Amino acid sequence: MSTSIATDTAPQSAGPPLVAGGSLTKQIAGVAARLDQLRQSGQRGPLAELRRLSSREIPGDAFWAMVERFDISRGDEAFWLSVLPLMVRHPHQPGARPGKVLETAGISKSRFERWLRLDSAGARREAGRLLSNLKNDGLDWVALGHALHRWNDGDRYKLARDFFVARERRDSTTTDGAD
Amino acid sequence: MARHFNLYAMQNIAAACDILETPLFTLAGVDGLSVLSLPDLLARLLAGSEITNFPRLAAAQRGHLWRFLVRCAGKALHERGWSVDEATKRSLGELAAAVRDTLRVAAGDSDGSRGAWMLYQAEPKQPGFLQPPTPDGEPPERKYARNTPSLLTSAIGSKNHERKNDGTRSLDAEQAAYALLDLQLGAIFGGRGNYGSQIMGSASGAGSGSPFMGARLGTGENETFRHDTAVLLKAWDRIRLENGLRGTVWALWTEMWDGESSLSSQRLDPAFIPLARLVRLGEPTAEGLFDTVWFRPTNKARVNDLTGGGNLGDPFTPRVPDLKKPDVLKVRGTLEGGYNYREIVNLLFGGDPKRPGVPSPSALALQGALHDHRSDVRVVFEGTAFEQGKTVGFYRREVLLPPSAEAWLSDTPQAVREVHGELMQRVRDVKSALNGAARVLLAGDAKPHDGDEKKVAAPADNLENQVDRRYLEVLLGATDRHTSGDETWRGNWAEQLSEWARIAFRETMEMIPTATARRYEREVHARGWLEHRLHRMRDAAGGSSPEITPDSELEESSV
Repeated sequence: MSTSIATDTAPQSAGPPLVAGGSLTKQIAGVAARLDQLRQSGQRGPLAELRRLSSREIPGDAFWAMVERFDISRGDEAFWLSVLPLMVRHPHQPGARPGKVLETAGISKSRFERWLRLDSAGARREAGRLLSNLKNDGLDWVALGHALHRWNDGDRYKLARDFFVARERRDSTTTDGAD
Repeated sequence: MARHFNLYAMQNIAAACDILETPLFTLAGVDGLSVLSLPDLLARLLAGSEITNFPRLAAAQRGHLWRFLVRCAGKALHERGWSVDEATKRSLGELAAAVRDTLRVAAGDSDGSRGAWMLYQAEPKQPGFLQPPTPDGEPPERKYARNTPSLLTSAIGSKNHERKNDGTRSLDAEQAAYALLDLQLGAIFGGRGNYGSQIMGSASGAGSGSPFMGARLGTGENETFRHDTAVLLKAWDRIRLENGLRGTVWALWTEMWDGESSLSSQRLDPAFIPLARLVRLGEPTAEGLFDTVWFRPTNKARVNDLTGGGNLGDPFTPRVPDLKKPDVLKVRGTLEGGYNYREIVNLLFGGDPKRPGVPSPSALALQGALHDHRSDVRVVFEGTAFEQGKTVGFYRREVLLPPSAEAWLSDTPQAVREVHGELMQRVRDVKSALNGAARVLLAGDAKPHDGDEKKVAAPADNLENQVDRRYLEVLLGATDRHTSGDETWRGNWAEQLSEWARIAFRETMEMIPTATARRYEREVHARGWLEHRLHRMRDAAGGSSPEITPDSELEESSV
């Protein structure tokens, strides 16, 4: 059943619309911490439910629990629907810059450039495939979450800079070693 | 003799318009609009209520009218033996009458019978206002070419706009007077037969046109006018001795001129009224409009300039040394780029070490006002730039001088030159960094390639605009700190430039063509190049702020 989940079936959220960067940061960090908690306590049910979230299907209780707990606004539900499954697969690792992590995982620069050139919806849609190269490695979800949420030039540039600077350093290290 | 402003009434005065008698010049003042004759206008500027502007005057004509007015007032007061202060103590009527009588005599027409101040002069053997007698005494219809009044401009039309030379146009009396002043004071050499004004920029002084660098005091025109007239009177003897204008010819237009010979500049009066061309206005129409101008080309310039560079003592002319003879000063014309910060600093403080400018006497004399810590002291730069016989454009810039400028507006502004040199070096460093970054974006590396200058110019141009807006303030502030032993200005300037450079690059990046498939990679490398070069620039300036690296921003975004 195809349903517009974010607007029709979701319960009313009490929280204000998400506009300030600070509140998104807290939400992402909070969600990441909650997912860690679930992992450590061995609660596989909610984790599995969140991993299977899809924008084409009505989300289950685990999602709405997150919405309630972190005061996620109705306007941001679509964003969280696409990001939560990825956060379950790849744990939050503060300081692991997404661009650098993706470069280390062997993503080619042309593939990375293509991803950066996508629009916001496309970037979220393709993020899963890109991150699948990480296996189960973690990354800084605050940085990537902000980028996927706003997807503006500045965010994309930051991702690109991390990626290409890491690549540059790796190349120069390789060259130095060869010498 | 004032009358109420009435455009329609003006149409009736053209045929019998005597500049010294007929209310002609429209001005706006505290009491609204009014129209005055030349002597009444000069009297009001010297001793009357404030004039705020001349609303019927085109922007490009302002400098020419101002020069004319100051020269007229200077001549009148000098002949009377009055200082400006003495003149201001007289009643407006007495002052206007004295100016009227003196100017009539100065034009060789003491009783007005020659009609030397008539806007339309029917008698070809006699001069009209700024219109010399015909060389052979014949009516201009015989040997002059018929033109429209669109000829009466210093602008050279090359496109199909309203000032195109061949366009049909008619002028009322006031407009015709302004237009005659524009032509006779502002015309440049336009090829054989079309000689220029005596005060135009010379080829070896760079630039073109009749540049205007004048003081501006207060919000109206009166105080500035008194200042400029006083400057001319004070310089009178120096102009005679140093510039060699030892003669008595003041109203050049009243002298017979065959167009085949030139008058030596030594025969000119220090306040002479320039004259470029042989023109005569045709008879005005029944509506009082001038629709015909007669023009006759000449084989010689009106004046043989013995100073060799147009250095004829004009109070508003900035000068630079001749490249081959540094002790000879040449008129600095208006450059193609107009009055940007480099040109302004050079003309005010001699900022170009190769060719240090010399301010116009009017601007130089602002030291007194600055000494009084006034906050409304400005310098106006005006001029029309020409190139290859075409008008590039009219430029005007007004610069506010802080009181601290007094010390540097002198003959030896060494400190300001030193600081300027260093500030400029940093600007060059940053422009080079921006060009390199733009080339990385364009082609993947910072090496210049043939023909890529225009493609990569946008960031450096943007930076120039940022610098241009603030430079004078920065320069004078830095010079103050430099002379008081505080050298932090170097680091501050480097930081400021770095900030502007980042903004410039961000704002203009999209104007630089780049490979779409590599856009982000190139942008990362370009910005990295820029930051690296900015860091080196800050190092050279003695700054200590660290280079921005990806790692240094990690803490900003991560939790």
